[in-house]
Amino acid sequence: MLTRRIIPCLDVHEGRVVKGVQFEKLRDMGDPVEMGVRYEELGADELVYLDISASVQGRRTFLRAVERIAAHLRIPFTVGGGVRSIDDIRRLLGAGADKVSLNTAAVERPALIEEAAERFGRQCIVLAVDAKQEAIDQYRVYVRGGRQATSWEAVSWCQEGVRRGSGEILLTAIGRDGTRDGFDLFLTRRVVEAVSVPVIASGGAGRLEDFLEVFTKGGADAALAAGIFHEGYLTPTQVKLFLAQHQIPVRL
Amino acid sequence: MKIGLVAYSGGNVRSIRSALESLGAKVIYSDQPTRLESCAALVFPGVGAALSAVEDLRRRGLWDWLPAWDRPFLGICLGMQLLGKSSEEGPAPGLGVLPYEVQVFRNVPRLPHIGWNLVRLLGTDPLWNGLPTEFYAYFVHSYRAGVGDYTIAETEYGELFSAAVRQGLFWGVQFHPEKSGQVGLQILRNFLKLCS
Repeated sequence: MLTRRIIPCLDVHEGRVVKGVQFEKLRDMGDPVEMGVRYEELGADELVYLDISASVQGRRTFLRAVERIAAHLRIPFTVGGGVRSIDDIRRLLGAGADKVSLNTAAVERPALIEEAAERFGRQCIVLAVDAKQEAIDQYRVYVRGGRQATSWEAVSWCQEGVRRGSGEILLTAIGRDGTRDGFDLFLTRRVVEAVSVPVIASGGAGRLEDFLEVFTKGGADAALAAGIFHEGYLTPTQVKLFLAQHQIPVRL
Repeated sequence: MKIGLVAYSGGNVRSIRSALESLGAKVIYSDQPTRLESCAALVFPGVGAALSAVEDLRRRGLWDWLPAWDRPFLGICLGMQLLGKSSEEGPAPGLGVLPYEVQVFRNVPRLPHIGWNLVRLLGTDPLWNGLPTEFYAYFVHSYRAGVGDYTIAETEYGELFSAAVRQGLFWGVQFHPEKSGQVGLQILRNFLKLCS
């Protein structure tokens, strides 16, 4: 049986894993390769690395980090953050990433999804969707790190992205990000029911029960979290042991 | 020991290459039969679409050369699918080393089939030395080969399909051993032992 995946997410700035502290200072968390290998040992099924560097130099450093990650990691990893073009995707896949996630650039030019899927195969093109709740049953897509609203309603945009060739959706509820109040189960369920590809739920993980619910009630295929793992509050294996006790298929 | 890694479009080879090198192999990454000829074994990777892979292999003069290989051969993912007779993806022809026709998954909730799924070994094989009879491996694909006499491991996703196949010195695995943690490394280690 296909298992549900637990995916730690690492933000990388100028080649180092960082954690944003109240939007002001970035705190250094460690080396992306060392942390990745550690998460592999701690039971992560997959990893996501997001480049949050703004500079050209930072992007080059990220590319070199991707090469090192690919050389040492024995589980799959997705990279994203600032991916703008087919050339960017080619470089990242060439550096050894298994999948590339598209966000802002896909909203600005949706044909990028088709071109990328045709060129590299849809299995390696992940659509990252940042959704913010505006009314009870209304979610809007935001871009540029969640700062800029778009005209897209979240579920419609996910469907559009899949129609154009995305092989997976990385769905972040921005209202929950960093809150540890639990995943947005309603949003997750809406998207899971609307698309035919796997959905990774993100934003709000705080307790073991949150992971259980995002699978049982949200219907997600995978759950992503950052803070609770980085701070050592939980490990992926602990989460999966809890899930297994509740009859969720996981790889242990 | 020299292992040939077949170079053609679409294959992300960095991970498989580093995995083989970490096990002590000297990897020759090439699309030149003359260079690959000197290797003890071939690894045939593959991601992407079947038809463009076939066209590329033909352009590079590998298409007719590969099936005549007479030492250990390991096809991974699309590399395993291309060992069959044909693929519905395209549609595209196969190398014809194995008799299956690769088809898209039917009646499954989600495609691609992405993630860790249970591999059940059918009998013994040198590729499975030191492994439990069931283990998890990482899959990323939408097409599959059915189960037949050639199947040496099976997995279920809506139906049973071939997780691994064998015909003589040709092995194929639908999952990615280079992405399947320590279990995957053990499989690659076993493959390297076959060549020595």
